[in-house]
Amino acid sequence: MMGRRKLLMAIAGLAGFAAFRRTAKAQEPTEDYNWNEHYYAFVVDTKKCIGCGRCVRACKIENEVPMVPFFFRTWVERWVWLKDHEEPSVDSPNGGFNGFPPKYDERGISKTYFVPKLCNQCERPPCVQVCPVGATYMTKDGVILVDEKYCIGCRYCIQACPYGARYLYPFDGPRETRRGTADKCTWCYHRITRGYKPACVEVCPTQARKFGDLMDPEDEVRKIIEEERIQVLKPEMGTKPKVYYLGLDSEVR
Amino acid sequence: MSEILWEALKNIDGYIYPNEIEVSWSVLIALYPYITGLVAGAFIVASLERIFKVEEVRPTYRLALLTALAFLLGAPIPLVAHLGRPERAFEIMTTPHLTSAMAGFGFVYAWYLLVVLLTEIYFDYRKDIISWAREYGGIRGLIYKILTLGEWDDSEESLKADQRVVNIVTVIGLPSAALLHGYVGFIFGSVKANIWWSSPLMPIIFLFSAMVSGIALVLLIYMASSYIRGVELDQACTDTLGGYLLYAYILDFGLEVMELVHIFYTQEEGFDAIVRLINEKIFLTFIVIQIIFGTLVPIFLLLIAKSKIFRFNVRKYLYIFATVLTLIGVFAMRWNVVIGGQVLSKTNMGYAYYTMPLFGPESASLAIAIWILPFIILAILVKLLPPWEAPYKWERTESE
Amino acid sequence: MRKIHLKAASVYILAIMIFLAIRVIVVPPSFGELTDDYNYRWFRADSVREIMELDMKFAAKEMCESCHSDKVEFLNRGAHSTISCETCHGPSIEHVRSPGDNLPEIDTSRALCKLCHDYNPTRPEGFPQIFSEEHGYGRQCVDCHNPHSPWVFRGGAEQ
Repeated sequence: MMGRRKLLMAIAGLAGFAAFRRTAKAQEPTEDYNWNEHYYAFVVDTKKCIGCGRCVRACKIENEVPMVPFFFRTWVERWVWLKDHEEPSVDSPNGGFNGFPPKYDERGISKTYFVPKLCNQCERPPCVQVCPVGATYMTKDGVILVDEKYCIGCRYCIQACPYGARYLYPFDGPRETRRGTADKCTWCYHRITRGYKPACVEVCPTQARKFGDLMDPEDEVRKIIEEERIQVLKPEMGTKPKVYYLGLDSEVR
Repeated sequence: MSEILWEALKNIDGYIYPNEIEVSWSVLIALYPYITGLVAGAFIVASLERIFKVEEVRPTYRLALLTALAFLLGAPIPLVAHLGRPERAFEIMTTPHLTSAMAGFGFVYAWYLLVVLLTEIYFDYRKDIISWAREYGGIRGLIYKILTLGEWDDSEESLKADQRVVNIVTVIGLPSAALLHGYVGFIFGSVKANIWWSSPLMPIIFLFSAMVSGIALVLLIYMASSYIRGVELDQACTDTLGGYLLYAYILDFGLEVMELVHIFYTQEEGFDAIVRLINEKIFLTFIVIQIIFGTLVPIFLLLIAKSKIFRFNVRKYLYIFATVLTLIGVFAMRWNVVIGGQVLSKTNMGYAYYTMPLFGPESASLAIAIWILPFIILAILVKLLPPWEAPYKWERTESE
Repeated sequence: MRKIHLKAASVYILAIMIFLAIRVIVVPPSFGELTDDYNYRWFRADSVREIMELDMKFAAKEMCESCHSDKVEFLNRGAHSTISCETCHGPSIEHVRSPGDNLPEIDTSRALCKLCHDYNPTRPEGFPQIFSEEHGYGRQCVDCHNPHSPWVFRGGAEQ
């Protein structure tokens, strides 16, 4: 008698466990797009960037980022090594939105380059780890998104990002539903899931910014990552960024 | 709001990431660890008597518990006020993401409030609640009657059972208090992106400075309330608390020195930026207010008091100065961690700029109001659950 | 266990049960639906769908090509082949959806060309940066250079 009761309870427990496991398995979010078939990556070729700022402008227009110099999903930095200075001079006037007005006497410059920056969509994202409510997450195709309807605006993720990629969407920003929540570059998820490129990649005049799908064997970005010498920002942080740089000076932080 | 940002833009030093212009965690977030630290510290004072059997501090036992409760009730306020979307604050409890130390807040807070503090206060006060329920009428009497939960048994056995519960809860409460404040230190210490915060010592430093601030607060409130009531201070109690404040302070200072020594010895990436932060950007709040006036001077005053060179009437004033300076110094410590860590840019090449507006959201006036609120709550609690009414024999209302 | 302890305990248990009941109502229904990894994918599944549905402001070069294939072909043969149409013409999704009503901006001023071609020591070597006042003597750049293929000059001369 005890044997049968135990058996029944074991079966019931197993069934309940199985039911729970089935509901927790990931499917695709929609029928037309299967996120299991893509894994995106980004390449920035700093040897090609001319600092025109079209990417910053396109991103702000495409993603309703406020047009003030305090919030950026992507920005461009100018690094100038002056001959008599040990430390580099770095600036990013309005994120590079209006280009870079000349600032230094060319004869005093030793080397100089532009470094575009954006969210690195890390594989081990510290920002996702510290979200207390589950408002930010990593999709299966490798993009980290923020749920603007769920974020409570505690700003922990903004503190945790080593790259300064996140910001709090201001209370007077154009998109009302996003006010008071954390915001950041999404690699234009709404564009890439429709097969297009992120806005910044689309308008870059020198193709310094490249976007691709690592699961596509013909992809240009995949070839670069497999064949070229690439660098990432702050590798010592262990975040495993997915924005790979070509020609990145080791001093760039 | 953007006026602050335009002003900050003008005052940036060096290069910071464009998004770092806005200092996200403001004075309210410096206030929160301060308040929970006071809770943890006040509870430690209470447990001194219960667990460590330090009989001398018995006069402050109930006062410490009520102080802890008053400040615990005020603790979530700066957090909710600071959120970008405060109406969604409950999400931290309904869908917590427990990889985040901040998600622990909901549970640690609920646990500490319900299982530790309220339970301990209730069972310690139960006998008095029953007698007050019989004594008072009106709304006050109704409150007491509800609190009795319908049980009017105040026999010796039930009181003994109550004390057993209180003892168990205090034993559980000590690590819970450590957790309540330790997790806040961990919130900062685990952020590898910020070199001023990232340290395994951070939870421990926060905990010890919390103990220091809590002991100082209880001592100060004890002295202030005795003065208001026109009652003699219990010398042994005051001196013992002052002694424990000194020990806690020496430990706390030792830990902070250890942290600084590590930074200055290993000279890791960003070391030059940290040196400039301490020497220039936060020199006033760190070196002057936190270290000199907030730590070294109180330790010195307490050492003099401990040596008993002066008589008690003078020692009283030493304690008053020491505790006030301590409370300011510990707040400065929270300020230096929170604000200092954000002024130091993640580029290690620049410094942001923090302005605290006088009025409005995240302002000085709001911070002061939130800081004062627990005192008001304490006053109400002291009225409702007096920690020094008739049955306690250590009170001397008239000179013998 | 005395009755008072049972009563106190039951107050707590009641509070927890009320909380759990409220939680069922308050947590959004799609939460956890796509969660296979609690560490990095604890989220409300509808959020992904909402983000995918966001409106585009910029179109894409492929979209321009479907109607303006001759222009794009001309562009791809010249020095500006790496540029997308919208780099200069701005966000044009509205034009794609309703071509007659929303024409993209056409900026023929010197200022637009200056953005990329002004001299800046930080720009890579070999990138065309001739923008002194003498070049063109203040005329519009497009007076001589075809903007879609800048080495094609007015009058049809090519280089």
